[in-house]
Amino acid sequence: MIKKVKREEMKVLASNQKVLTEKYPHIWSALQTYMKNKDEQLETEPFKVELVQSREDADALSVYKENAYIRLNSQYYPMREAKQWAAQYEYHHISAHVVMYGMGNGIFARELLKNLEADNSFIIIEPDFRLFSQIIGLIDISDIIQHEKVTLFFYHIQQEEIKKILSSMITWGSISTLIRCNHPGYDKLDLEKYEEYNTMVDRLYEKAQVSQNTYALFADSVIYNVINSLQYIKNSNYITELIGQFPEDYPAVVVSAGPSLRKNVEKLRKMKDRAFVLVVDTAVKVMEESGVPYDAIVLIDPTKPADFITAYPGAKEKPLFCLTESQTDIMDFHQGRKIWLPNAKWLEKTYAQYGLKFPTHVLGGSVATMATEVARIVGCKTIILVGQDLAYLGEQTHAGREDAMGEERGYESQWIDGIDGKQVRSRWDWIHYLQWFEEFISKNTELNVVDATEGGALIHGSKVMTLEEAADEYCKETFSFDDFLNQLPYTFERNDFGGIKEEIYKLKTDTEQTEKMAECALEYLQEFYRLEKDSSPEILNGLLAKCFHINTKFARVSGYELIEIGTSGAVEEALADVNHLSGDEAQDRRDTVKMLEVYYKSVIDVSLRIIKEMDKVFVKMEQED
Amino acid sequence: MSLEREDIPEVIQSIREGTDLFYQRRIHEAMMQYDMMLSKMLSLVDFFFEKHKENPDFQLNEEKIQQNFNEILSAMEQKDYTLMADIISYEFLDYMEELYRTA
Repeated sequence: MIKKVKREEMKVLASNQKVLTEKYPHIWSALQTYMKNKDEQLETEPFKVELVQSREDADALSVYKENAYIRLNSQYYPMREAKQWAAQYEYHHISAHVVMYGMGNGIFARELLKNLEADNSFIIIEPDFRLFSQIIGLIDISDIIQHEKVTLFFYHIQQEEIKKILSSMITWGSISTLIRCNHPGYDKLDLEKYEEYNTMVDRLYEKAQVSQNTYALFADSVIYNVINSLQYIKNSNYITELIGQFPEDYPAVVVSAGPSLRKNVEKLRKMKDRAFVLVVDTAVKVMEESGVPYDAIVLIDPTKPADFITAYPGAKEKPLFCLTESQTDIMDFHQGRKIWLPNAKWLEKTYAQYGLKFPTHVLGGSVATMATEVARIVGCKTIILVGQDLAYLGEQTHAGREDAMGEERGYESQWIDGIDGKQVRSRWDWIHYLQWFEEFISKNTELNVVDATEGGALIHGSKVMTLEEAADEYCKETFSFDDFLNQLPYTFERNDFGGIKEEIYKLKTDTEQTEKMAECALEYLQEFYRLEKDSSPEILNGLLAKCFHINTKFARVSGYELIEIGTSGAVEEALADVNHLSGDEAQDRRDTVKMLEVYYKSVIDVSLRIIKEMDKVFVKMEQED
Repeated sequence: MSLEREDIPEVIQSIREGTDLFYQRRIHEAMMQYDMMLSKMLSLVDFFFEKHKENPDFQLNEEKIQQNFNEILSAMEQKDYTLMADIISYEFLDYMEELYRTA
C-alpha cells in the first residue's frame, strides 16, 4: 500500500519554502540548519515519513519509527476521517480560537479552517522539525502556512513564546470559546513532548479557572478595597521611587510563612540593615511574636483576615508594600508608609497619565512571589528566600499552623524533589508558585536567588544554603531602609496632587454617567422586546447597534475597570448561556439581548454601590484636607 | 441478538456511528460502546452465516471476516484506533453491506 513517491517534490518544496521564508524567516533558517544535519540524525534514529495512497484523492500519512508504522490518517478515507474528526469541534462561537497540536499533512487543519469565522484565529503547534521537514518536501501545505488566520509554532524552539501566547489566550473569559485539539497519532510520534505540551496547557486551563473563581469570590472586596484606598494616595509612595536607591550589593531577604520559618526566625535577627528584609503578610505573626526586626510588609490579598497583621501593634508603623486592592481593615489599621505595588488596576493607569510609571512585573499569584518581584524591581541582585517551603512539614502548611487546610480545600498532594534530595509532599498551588520561582530564576540570570529556607521543596536554579551561610556570603553592606524612607518625601510632595485628586473625584462622576448610560441601554432593550414581533430585522439590529455604541463608551470611562470586576460574575454566567451563534438570526439576536440585559442590570447595581462607597471615602478625604 | 434483514441497515449505521468516536479520538467513550458494537458485528455475521446455511449459493467469504476480526483485535492491542475504525468501517461494514445487497 505504500505509495512510491514520484511527484514533483522540488516543486512542492519550493512552494512551501516560499511561504515559510516570507511568513516565518526565522523558522525557515532554523529548519535549514536542521535539514543540513538531518541525515546524521536519521541514521541514529530512523524516522521516515511515507505517503500512502488512499481511496480518496488525498494521500494518508504514515511514519516509520522504531520498526513500526504510526498512522496519522485513515489509510482508506483520510478526508472523510478529518470531517468526522472535526465534527466534534463544530462551533459557532462569537469569537472562537483554535489551538491544534500537530500539523500532519494538513488534512485535519484544513477541515477546521473551513469552519472559522472572520474574527477567529488558528494556532498550530508542531512538536519539532522531524516530521515537518519531510512533509514540506512531499505535500504542498503552503495554503495552510500562509493562511491569514494561521500562526505556526515549533514547540522545541518556541516553548516560551507558545506558553506566553497561550497564557494570554486561555483566560477565564475565553475558556468556553477556545477549541483545543491534538492531531491524531501525535501522541505516538513523541509521547514525552506530547504530554509535556498538554500538561502545560492543562495548567493554563487550571490557572484560568482559579482566576475565574478568585474574581467571582473577591469582586466585591476588591471594589470596596480600591475605593477605600483612594484616601491614602495623597500621603503615599509608589515602588518606582525605590528603584536604584539601595547600595549595589545590598541583598533582599523575602520572609514567607512556610513551616520552616519557626526554625530560623532567630537567625533573621541579625539581618536588619544588612539586607532588605521583606515580610509577607502571613509571616508578620512569627516575626512580631519573636520580636525580630524587619524592614517592610507585603500585602496584596483583598480578603486576608485582618488579624494576621492588626493583632500586632508593632506592624502598625511598618512600611507596607500594598495594592489599592489590599484588604481594607489592614489598610485602615496601618499608619506607616504605604508604597504602591504594580498591578493596581485603576492606580497604575491614572498615575501613568501624570508621568508616574510603574515598572513591568510578572505576576506569580502569591504574596511571596510579589515580594520577590519587589526585591528584583528595587534592584537587589541577591534575593534570599526564607520560609519558602512550598511543601508540608508533617501536617503543617504554615509556620505555627498545624492544620490540613490544603486537604480540606480539596488540594491534592503531590510528591516532589526536596532540598535534601528526598521527596517532599506538596500541593498543586504551591507547585504553581514553585514553577514561578524556577521561571523567575531562569529569566533573570543576572540575579542570584538563594534558598535559605532550610527545608521544603527544591527550587531548581536556586542556591541552597543555610541562612548563616547566605548572610556571611552576601550581607556585607549596611543600609538603613528606615532612614532612607524617612528622607523620602511622599510622591505628591514632589508632584502635583491636583490632577490625581481630580481623577479620584472624576471616578464618581464617571461612574454616575456609566450608570445613566446603562439605564438608557436598558430602555433600548425594553424597546426591542416591544417591537420584536412586528419589526424588521433592520430596526431590531439598529437598537442593538445603539447598545453596542454605549458599550464602547463604557470602556472609555475612568474607573470602568472597577465596574468590570463587579459585573464579571454575572456576565460570565450570561455568556456561558449565549456565547454561541445558533445559526438562526432571530434567536441569536434574542440571546444577545438577554446577555446585554444581564450585563446592564449588573452595571447599574455595581455603579450604585461604588457611588455609595465613594461618598463615604470622600467625606474622610475632605476631613483630612 | 438475532436480526431480521430489515434491521441490517440500521445496525450497520449504528456501528459506523460508533467508529466516529474512534476517529474523533474520544477513546474512553468509544471503548464504553465497543462491547455493544462488537455484539452487533457478531449479530451481522450470524445473520449472514445463517443465510449461507439456508442457501449454500449465497457466497460468504468466511476467511475475510475472520481476518477482519483478527486485524481489529491487533489494532486494538496496538492502540491504533484509526486503523481499528478503518477496518471496521471500510473492510468489515463495507463487506456486510455488500452481503446485504445480495442476501
